[in-house]
Amino acid sequence: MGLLDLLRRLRRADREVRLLLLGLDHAGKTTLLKRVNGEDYADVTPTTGFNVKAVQANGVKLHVWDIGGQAAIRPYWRNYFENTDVLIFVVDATDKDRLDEAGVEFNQLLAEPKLAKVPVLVFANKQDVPDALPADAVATALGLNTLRDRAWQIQACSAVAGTGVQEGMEWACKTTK
Amino acid sequence: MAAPAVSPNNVIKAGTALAVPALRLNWMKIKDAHSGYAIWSSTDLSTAFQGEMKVSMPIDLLKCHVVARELNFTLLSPQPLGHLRVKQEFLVNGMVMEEWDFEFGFVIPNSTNSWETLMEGDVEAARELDEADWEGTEVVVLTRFFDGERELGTFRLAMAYTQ
Repeated sequence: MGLLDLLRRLRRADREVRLLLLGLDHAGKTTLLKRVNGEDYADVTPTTGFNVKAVQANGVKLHVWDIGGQAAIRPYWRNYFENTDVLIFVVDATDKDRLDEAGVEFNQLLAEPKLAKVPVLVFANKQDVPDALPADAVATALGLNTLRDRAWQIQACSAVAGTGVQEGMEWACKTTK
Repeated sequence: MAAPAVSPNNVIKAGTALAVPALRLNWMKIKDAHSGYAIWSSTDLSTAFQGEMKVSMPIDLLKCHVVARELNFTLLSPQPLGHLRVKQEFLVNGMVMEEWDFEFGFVIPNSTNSWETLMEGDVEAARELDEADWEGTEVVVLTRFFDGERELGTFRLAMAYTQ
């Protein structure tokens, strides 16, 4: 799998697709993006700004934005909402102490007018760790089951082990309007 | 605010202070997009806005079906940038073979950011040249940074292919 393979799954009519990766710090957003892109993730450090991957083939463009998740920079997230086709929210399923905090941030995002009706994919990440919460527990904590205004998907994954990542990204590409 | 002093070829002169807010280039990598393997990565680019960087590139790069270029940069300012964009050109013997315009928009104060581009099916004409033709050919990746219409700096990477 790679970003070019994902690009081929986009409908031909989608000339430009923008995926936005958000989540608390240390959720694994950058590692996940590197996994999708087939890169080494050993040297990942906390993101203080953005990592953007721009892929182009046959006139179709795929832009994936990964924005840092530290509390101090979350107020800047709003600057990256415009034209988002799919919101990808990454949760550290082993960080039970901050699950509520993740839920608050997630529901604030859903209330943003610029993200209204934007399909949302939630990755319950770090499933390679034995005590990670299962995907349905993360879905419940985030209130996904009560969502009625948009398409959504919860996907258990491990960015480090590579499991579940492809399934989630394929859903994201399929759901672009 | 005064515009930065720019020499005729649009490269910021050595020792010229950039208009605030300033960008610092950290590093650049050129990768085989299919394997993710870095074919070339730069050393510190913190002075790269001051001129041209000349590097030797392994000729194996030409065998990659898709090449990815990743550039890492830091905004050295407590103020955000509102409209960062880049224009990147891939020039072969002065001829533009490929062009990227990319709009970043907002940049978080004092943030480090990365931008990677992958393009398939580009530089087809260039690929028709055989390896011998590439030796001695000047290939330049020209990356120009703007905030809105204001130019922040130009990074010129001149590559020579060697066996």
